[in-house]
Amino acid sequence: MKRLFGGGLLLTVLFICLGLLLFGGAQAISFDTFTAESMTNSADHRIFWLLKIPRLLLVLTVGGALAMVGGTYQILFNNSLADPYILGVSSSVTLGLVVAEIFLGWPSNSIKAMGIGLGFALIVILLLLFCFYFHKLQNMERVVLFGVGINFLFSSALFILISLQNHTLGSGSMRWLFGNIPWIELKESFALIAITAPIGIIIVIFGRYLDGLSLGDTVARTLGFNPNHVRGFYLVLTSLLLTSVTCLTGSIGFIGLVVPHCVRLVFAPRSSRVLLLISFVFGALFLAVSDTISRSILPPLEFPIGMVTTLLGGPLFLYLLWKR
Amino acid sequence: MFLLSFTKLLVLCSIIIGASPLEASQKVPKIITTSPTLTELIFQLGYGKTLVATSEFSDYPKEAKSLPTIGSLFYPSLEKIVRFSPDYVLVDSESTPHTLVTQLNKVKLASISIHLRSVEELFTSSKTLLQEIFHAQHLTILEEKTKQLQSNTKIFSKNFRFLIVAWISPLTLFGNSTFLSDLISKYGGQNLLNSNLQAAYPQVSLEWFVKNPPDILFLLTNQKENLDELQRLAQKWWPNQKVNLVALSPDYFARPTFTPLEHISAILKDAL
Repeated sequence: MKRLFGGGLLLTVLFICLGLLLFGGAQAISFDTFTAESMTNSADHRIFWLLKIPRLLLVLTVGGALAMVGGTYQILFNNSLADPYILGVSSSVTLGLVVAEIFLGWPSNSIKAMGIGLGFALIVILLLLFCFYFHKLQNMERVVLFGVGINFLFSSALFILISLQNHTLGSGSMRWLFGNIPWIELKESFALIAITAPIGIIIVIFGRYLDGLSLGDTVARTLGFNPNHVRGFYLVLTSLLLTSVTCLTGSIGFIGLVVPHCVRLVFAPRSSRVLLLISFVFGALFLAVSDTISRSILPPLEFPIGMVTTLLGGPLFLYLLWKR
Repeated sequence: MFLLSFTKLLVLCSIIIGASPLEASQKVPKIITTSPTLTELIFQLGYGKTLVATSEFSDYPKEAKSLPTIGSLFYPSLEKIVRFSPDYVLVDSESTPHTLVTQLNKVKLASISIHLRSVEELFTSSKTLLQEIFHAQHLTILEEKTKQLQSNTKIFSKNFRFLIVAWISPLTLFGNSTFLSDLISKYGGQNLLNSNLQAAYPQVSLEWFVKNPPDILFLLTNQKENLDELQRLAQKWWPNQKVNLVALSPDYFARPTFTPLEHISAILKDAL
């Protein structure tokens, strides 16, 4: 009962924040925007429909997807530190996109560049799987450490590539390092939802396999499925999901790591499906709140979203760990 | 009297033909610059031949391309600098880590930190360089530039509001504390960004941007696609307002030297 009350309170607070995102932010919008006929052509009206709504949809999708991918990784690798950011999958996607942008001149949101990003992600996943299958101990901790190594390697390569660019105004490239919520049109927001929603649904539908994996490979085999096949299937699916959001926003850290943990600590979900669904909701709201804060601290300045997620999520995570 | 005039004539000729206007008896200092901006500035002051090395990306004028480099722009190599045994290292405060000056002091190399965030700083820094390093007797070149700037700015009486876009996504603007913003302000422009903001190139919220349409929106770009993209967005964001969109070529406007001073008048005449 106490848990339900806590969760309800948290949800209420987050929805209030969501309202603030739509009507607050760098430029507050009044409700008159929707009532007065003369306002339909006003700047506020355009800000609401052209900027705030598409941005909100983008932020909710990206936040939810990152949290869902993080939750899935933690089950797949049976390790609480497993997260696309820590395992180097995020940095590999980003590196692929930057390579496509710098060397091939393909915009990062183009299908071709996304293909390169996905290719880089799959290489890392194959390396992780290779490490897992061919390591004598099949020790998950070693796999995670291997991923951490890859992350350092790819992040350094990314940093070198960005610093080698003409310095004059290289600030645009920095979005890859700290994350950025770009301006997209409403149709693009819907396109992103159309890509990510089916993947998310598949992940949840086949959630019972994740339940089996969370009990260990031996139990999974007794349940009648090959854990390695399931792991491969989910890694490819989550890579697709990750690539589709990272090509727009760059690397946004911490959500994939912190949100599923917080959900476990607060709600203690009994199945992977529930965990992933709640993680999606809270990941979406968490990123939406972070985005509002990034634009409201010192308007008109906007801070990189990755910094805000880390600043917000870090203390929250530590507090929850301390309490438990 | 005749000898003095003849010497002056020699100095003048040497400026005209582009050679270093240093007297024959005077020791030619060996200079290293840590940014393309300072390299360009030294060439503009007529002392390009004193440069023994520079940073990466120093590509203007074309003679600068053949100079050896001291490593990356943001992280110059102290070892390489020491190897050239320069008399002076000119440190660009905008792009070079502050620690470099301390390191140079430790290895007993003279350095001068140059700030170029405004037109005034360009002139005062140039004066310092001419007097302290090159021991120039005359500051003719600076006097001419000052007169030229004054006569150019007098023509413009109209006040206008402007913003300078450095990068479209993420939306990054030129702050008030940048050379380019200061230069345009001299022509009657008012940067719409809050003047209390100290950030040189702040990333700003698109909502604020849409709510505050400028009279002239500058975009630092060489690529037509970027300008077309901004044009398309401007029509969406400000359908009822006339926002004059002007491209500024990075070849002329990216570096705070005398080059932007020579080209801004023509650009503003067309825009206004």
